[in-house]
Amino acid sequence: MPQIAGPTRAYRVVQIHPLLKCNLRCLHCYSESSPTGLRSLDAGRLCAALDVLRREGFNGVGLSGGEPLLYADLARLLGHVRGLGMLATVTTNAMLIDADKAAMLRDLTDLVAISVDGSPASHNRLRAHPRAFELMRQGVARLRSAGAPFGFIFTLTVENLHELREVAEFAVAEGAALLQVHPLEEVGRATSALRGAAPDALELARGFIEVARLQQEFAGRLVIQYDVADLDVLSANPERGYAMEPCDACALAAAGGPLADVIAPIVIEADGAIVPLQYNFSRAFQIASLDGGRLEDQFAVWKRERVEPFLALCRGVYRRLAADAPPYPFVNWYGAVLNASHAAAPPVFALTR
Amino acid sequence: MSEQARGSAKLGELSHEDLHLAIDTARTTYKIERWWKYGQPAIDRISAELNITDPRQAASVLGGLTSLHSPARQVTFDVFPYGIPVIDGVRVTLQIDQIPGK
Repeated sequence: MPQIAGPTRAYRVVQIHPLLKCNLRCLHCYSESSPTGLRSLDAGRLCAALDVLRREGFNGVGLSGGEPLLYADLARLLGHVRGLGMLATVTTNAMLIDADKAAMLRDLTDLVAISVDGSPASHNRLRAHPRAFELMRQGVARLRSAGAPFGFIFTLTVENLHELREVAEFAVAEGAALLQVHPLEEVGRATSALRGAAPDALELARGFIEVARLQQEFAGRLVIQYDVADLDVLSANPERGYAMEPCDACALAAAGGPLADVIAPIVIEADGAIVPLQYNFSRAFQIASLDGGRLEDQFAVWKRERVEPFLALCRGVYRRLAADAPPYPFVNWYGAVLNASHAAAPPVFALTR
Repeated sequence: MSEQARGSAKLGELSHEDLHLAIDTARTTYKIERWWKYGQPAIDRISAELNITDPRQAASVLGGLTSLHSPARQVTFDVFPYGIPVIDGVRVTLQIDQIPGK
């Protein structure tokens, strides 16, 4: 049975936002989480959904939020993920990690991803908290003492590339397994608090040079992951951006293959909506809802009716990128598709339901 | 935004031509084959160095790392005690490989 490799190959992830409550109110938060965020999902419903998604071919779960360490049933949920044989990651600001939570994360996750946004001053400014860096570092020390693998996530803006080396040094000194460099997307709170701060083509290109240089400098000590699509690679492998011609994919979907063979990653948002690729993806392309009845039935409808509109959206993004002939061959692909999903006319299927 | 405010400007100026040359050069050693979401690390291969400054904690940390090993995940590590004549730390180089298909 053919599969669509998608951007993340055989690692097919369900990203879950079980709550929108957070101890911080970060300027760049795409989910606009905050201490007053009330929405959350019942762990029992999530576990039941994961049972179905495991059968649909997903093999990894990324827990985000809000701050996942504020989710009362985090250990239960992670234990269920582990019981299903899926890989588990948790994305956290690390400020709430005590010895017990560190031990729990060591036992139930494969990697803890911790946000670090530059120098202590830059980190505290973006986190809107004067001690965010200091408290994060204390949490990291507890993870290290517990023996839990962890990595850092650096959000690249148009103004902070020069701080990446400092973050890489920090990551090595702290014993991190991985440094993920992710470009800022102007969604959520960033649309107002960080308007104009997303890295443009020049900054993405300079970012590539800097990441390549740092990867050489820190070879053997740190893996650096740059979440930017190389347009030349995408051109040679359009399926990695879901930009291939529809025939195989639609045939696959119509044949009723596993959902993960057609679309991954997917996101479960805090209101129960399951959407493709990114948080806040246009609901016009929604895959299912935890409130919408049997997930298997909803997935069958999506595979039958909605794969082609989704692929058409991705092809459109790819063609526009190619036609625009950007000055440098790098693009924030997830951000581009997310924005296009909101700009697109409602797909035809929306009229046939 | 002024050009001086750019993060890259603080790393030094590069002309358009020099930047393209630098991209071509960098691509010989570093290639982006896949791209990931925020908070979704590519965890199919992880290498790390842990520096355990209290040798009394070494046994529990190494025990924790050993427990990560599974049919789907190969965990290997080397241990280097340091300090003469009394050991005052342990450095651990760690590699985790997810085994495809497991």
